Amino acid sequence: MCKVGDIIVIDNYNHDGINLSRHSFVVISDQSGKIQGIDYDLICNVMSSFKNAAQKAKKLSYPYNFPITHNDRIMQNGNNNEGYIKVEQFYYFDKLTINYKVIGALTPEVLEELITFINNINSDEINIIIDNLQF
Amino acid sequence: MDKQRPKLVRSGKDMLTTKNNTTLNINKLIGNNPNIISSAKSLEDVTPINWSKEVLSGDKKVILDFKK
Repeated sequence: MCKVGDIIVIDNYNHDGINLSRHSFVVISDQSGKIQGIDYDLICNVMSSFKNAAQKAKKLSYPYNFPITHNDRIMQNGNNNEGYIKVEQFYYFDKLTINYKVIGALTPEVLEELITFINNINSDEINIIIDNLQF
Repeated sequence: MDKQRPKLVRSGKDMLTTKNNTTLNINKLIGNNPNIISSAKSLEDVTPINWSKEVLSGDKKVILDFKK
C-alpha cells in the first residue's frame, strides 16, 4: 500500500509486448477514479537520474524537472544518486496490475514544494500516460 | 517513517491539501482534453535510479529532504 509522497519502485511491466524496465516514481494521488473511461487508483511522476554532467545541465535547464541534487536536497540512503522528477507527466496505474514496492518518501516540506512546482505547470504542457491501464 | 508522513487533507476527487494549505487538484490541472503519450515515449529519456540493495530489499528507506 502506498500513499501520497511515497517513493515507489515499479518492477518490470509490459506495454504492447515490450518489457519496460524497473522505474521509480513519486505518488501524487492514491485516489481511485476513471480516465478516458478506464479505472485507475494511482497517479505518479517518474524519477530519473542523470547519465552524465552534460545531461544533468540540460535536464535541469528544463523548467518542469524538479531537481534532486546535492545542492539543495538530499536523499538519505539514496546511494549518492542525483536526479529529477518529471512533473509534467502523470502516469496512471491500477495497483492491482502492477508489482510495486514502497522504498521511501518525501518529507512534508519537500512534498509541499513539489506540489507548488506542479501547480505552476501550464496545463498545455501536461502529458498523461494511461497505457499501463487495462483497456 | 510515520513521523515524516505528510499531513494531507482530502478535499475532493484527486485533490489534496497540505498542512500549509497548498492545494493540488489534478483533474483541474489536467483539464478535459489532456495530451496522451505512450510509456515508451515518456520513458525514452528517463534513466532509472540505481538504488542500493538495502533500499530495494526494504532494509533502508530513502528520504528526500532539504539539505539542513
